[in-house]
Amino acid sequence: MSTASSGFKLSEWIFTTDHKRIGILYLIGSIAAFSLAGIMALLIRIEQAAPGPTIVSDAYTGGDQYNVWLYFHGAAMILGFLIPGLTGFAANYLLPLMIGAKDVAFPRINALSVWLFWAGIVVALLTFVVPDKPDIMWTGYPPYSITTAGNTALYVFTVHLIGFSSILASVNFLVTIIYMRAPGMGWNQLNMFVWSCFTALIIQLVFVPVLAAAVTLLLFDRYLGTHFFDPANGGDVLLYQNLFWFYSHPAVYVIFLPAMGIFYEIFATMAKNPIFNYKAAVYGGMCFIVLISGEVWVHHLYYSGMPDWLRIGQMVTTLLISIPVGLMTISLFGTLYKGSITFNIPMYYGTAALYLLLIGGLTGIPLAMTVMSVHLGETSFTHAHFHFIMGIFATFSVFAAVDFWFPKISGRMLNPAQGKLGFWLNFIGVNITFWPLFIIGVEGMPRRYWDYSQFPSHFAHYHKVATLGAFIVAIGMVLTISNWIISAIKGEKAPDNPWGSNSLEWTHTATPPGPGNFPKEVTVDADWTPYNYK
Amino acid sequence: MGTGRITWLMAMVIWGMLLQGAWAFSKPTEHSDIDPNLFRIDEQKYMGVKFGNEVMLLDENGKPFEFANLPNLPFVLVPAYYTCDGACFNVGVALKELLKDVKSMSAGKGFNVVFVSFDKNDTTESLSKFVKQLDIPGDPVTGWRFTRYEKPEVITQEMGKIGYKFFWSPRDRTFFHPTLVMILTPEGRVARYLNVLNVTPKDIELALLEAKSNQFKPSETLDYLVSLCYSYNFKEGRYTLSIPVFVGLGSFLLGIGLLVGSLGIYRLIYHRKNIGK
Repeated sequence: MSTASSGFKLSEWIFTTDHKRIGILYLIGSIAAFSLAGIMALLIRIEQAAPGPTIVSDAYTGGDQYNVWLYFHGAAMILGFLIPGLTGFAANYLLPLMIGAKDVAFPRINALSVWLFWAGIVVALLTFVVPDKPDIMWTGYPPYSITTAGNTALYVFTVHLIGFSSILASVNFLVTIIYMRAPGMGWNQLNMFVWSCFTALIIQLVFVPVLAAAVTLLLFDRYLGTHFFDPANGGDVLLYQNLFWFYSHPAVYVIFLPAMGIFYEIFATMAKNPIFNYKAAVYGGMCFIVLISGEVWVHHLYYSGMPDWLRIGQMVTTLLISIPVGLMTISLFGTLYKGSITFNIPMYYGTAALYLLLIGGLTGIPLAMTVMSVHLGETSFTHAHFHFIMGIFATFSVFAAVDFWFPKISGRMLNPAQGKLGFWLNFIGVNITFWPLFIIGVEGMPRRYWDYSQFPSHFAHYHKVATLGAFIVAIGMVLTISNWIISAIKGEKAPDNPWGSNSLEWTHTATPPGPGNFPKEVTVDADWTPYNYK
Repeated sequence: MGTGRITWLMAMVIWGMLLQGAWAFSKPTEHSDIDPNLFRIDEQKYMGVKFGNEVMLLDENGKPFEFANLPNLPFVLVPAYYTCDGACFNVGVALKELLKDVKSMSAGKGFNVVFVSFDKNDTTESLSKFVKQLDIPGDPVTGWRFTRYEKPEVITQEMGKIGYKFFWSPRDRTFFHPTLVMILTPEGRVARYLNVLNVTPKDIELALLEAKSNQFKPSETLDYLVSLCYSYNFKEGRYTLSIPVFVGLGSFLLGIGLLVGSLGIYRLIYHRKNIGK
């Protein structure tokens, strides 16, 4: 099966309501955000390569410049790349195909949501144009965000636009999954990626409005003279942090769950195995995470005033999260057991993800514990931890998704040599970057400092190594992304189902899938599952 | 007496009155023009300061009194002097009335009230007279305690630690002092300053809840949740509703509403389509 290309028409892309094109628009936007965030990361690493001013203009304004880089890196990575890359690109392109639907439930709302996302990206990009650049991290904590000369409004409007886009996308996909599954398709026959998006989107829909409300109040405080977060006038500065993390910690699962879902699909297909402990992973893993995701945010605020029992309670719920995550990880490992494993680029990323999950997960345990968190929480140990579990793990999942479904999306195969070289540089680079930060973090290197000359001089050696690692990653990323672009234009033609998958998007659609997705209506019988390889 | 003499006498009296009036107005009293701002406390500077550490106080019976021996509860610290028949007594009465309306806890069980005299001349007798006037027995059962310093030389220093200022007016034979009380944590750290003549029972209750914030039991979750709905307004000197809490809660409910509503709307459309087929 193949669909004839009708040529490129810009208007068709601008006014498209096709979920596949919308998914690709999300991918382009999120990769653009990722690239700029990567440049900011390089600037941060170059600055930290030596104590004192390195590339910032001087010691007096150095902190301001550095804060702008930190702001854009954090905001673009989380709001512009990870969440839209997973619940925007991957969910849009794959969900309707996996459940046998012709499109999403509300196609026009879907189009609106992608353009809101793009508007958010444009507003974020204004950072580089306006003289008063935002410098408030991706967290926007008051009182600094209220008193700073930086442009807090850009941050707030970016959150509004991308947040509204996320809400619309969540509504759309949840309704699609619930009501538009192929006839005969039961809940226990869904792809793991569908389940992971279903659970992640519930979290997103319920919690995003809280962040939107918090930043709106911040906007009022900054520009309209209200005092919601001003303690001198009856406000509560800590309340912002509570509202922010009430959304932003669950947001970790909005990223983590679809990332796991992608690796499930890759592992099952490449190992030709059914999902190990499907129901335990879905109900004990994903659904349990939904239930307790809103009960763990306080571990970001261990240092602020709260009753001891609440601090300990939240420590318990935070540690409790390791049970569903553990169930999912066991299921992921088990899926490989006695499998006939094909090692290709997506599988390389998948295997690396197991390692990242292990390191990121284990280093999260001390941070969940109050006594340890007090010492490690504001050091580069935390910085390295969340880059392993959230930054790199989730980034690798997006890369793996693009590599795995690339033949279906583009109708062409990737250059395997370039892809593998890109992977190894990425993998080696991230380890060289973040292991030194774990080590000096334990020794007391604080997070977010542009100048660390007051700290032990040997920290500089570790920072130099980390900076070297960041450049290796940068080369790996360039190779990976350029491989997508070049292969999409002149790669080898792809067969319909190059990996021999049993999932509907491979078995029942053309390559690439045309409008309406399926040549005829899909029905599945009671014995069908996307993982029936035996 | 002739008319001339009477006129002369009256003129002298009027002159005398005028002179006295002129003297009175031309020479201001030493203490009547004290700037109230002198008593203002930079609250944020003193928050968390520990009070009463290792300084000996004497209780109602002249026996040693130590904060460390109080039950592990927050307490209301009332600086006063016992011969005062004005502000100190009014503060005591106002506090008594306010605390009657604090429903979630009571003196002796949920908190204590400790009067500390800043007058070196106070004695067990003056203390007893004050307590009798106030009509509250000072003992651990009522939770109201009345104390004075054993060593008068430490008074200014101790009161200064928490930013409390007072002046003796020899002319009026009285102390000038603010009508403030302090809400202290069970460890004796300053958690809040309140002007009892300007607050409601709710303010006292919230300040006490706030002062015990690290000592909450799970059974007091509701009290804790109530306290989260308010925040202290330094400018007004009282607690005000914390609007972001309700905005956050409302937006969370909005998220749930969107989830349920979107499913409902789609179901309606889906059914209509099916009916139309």
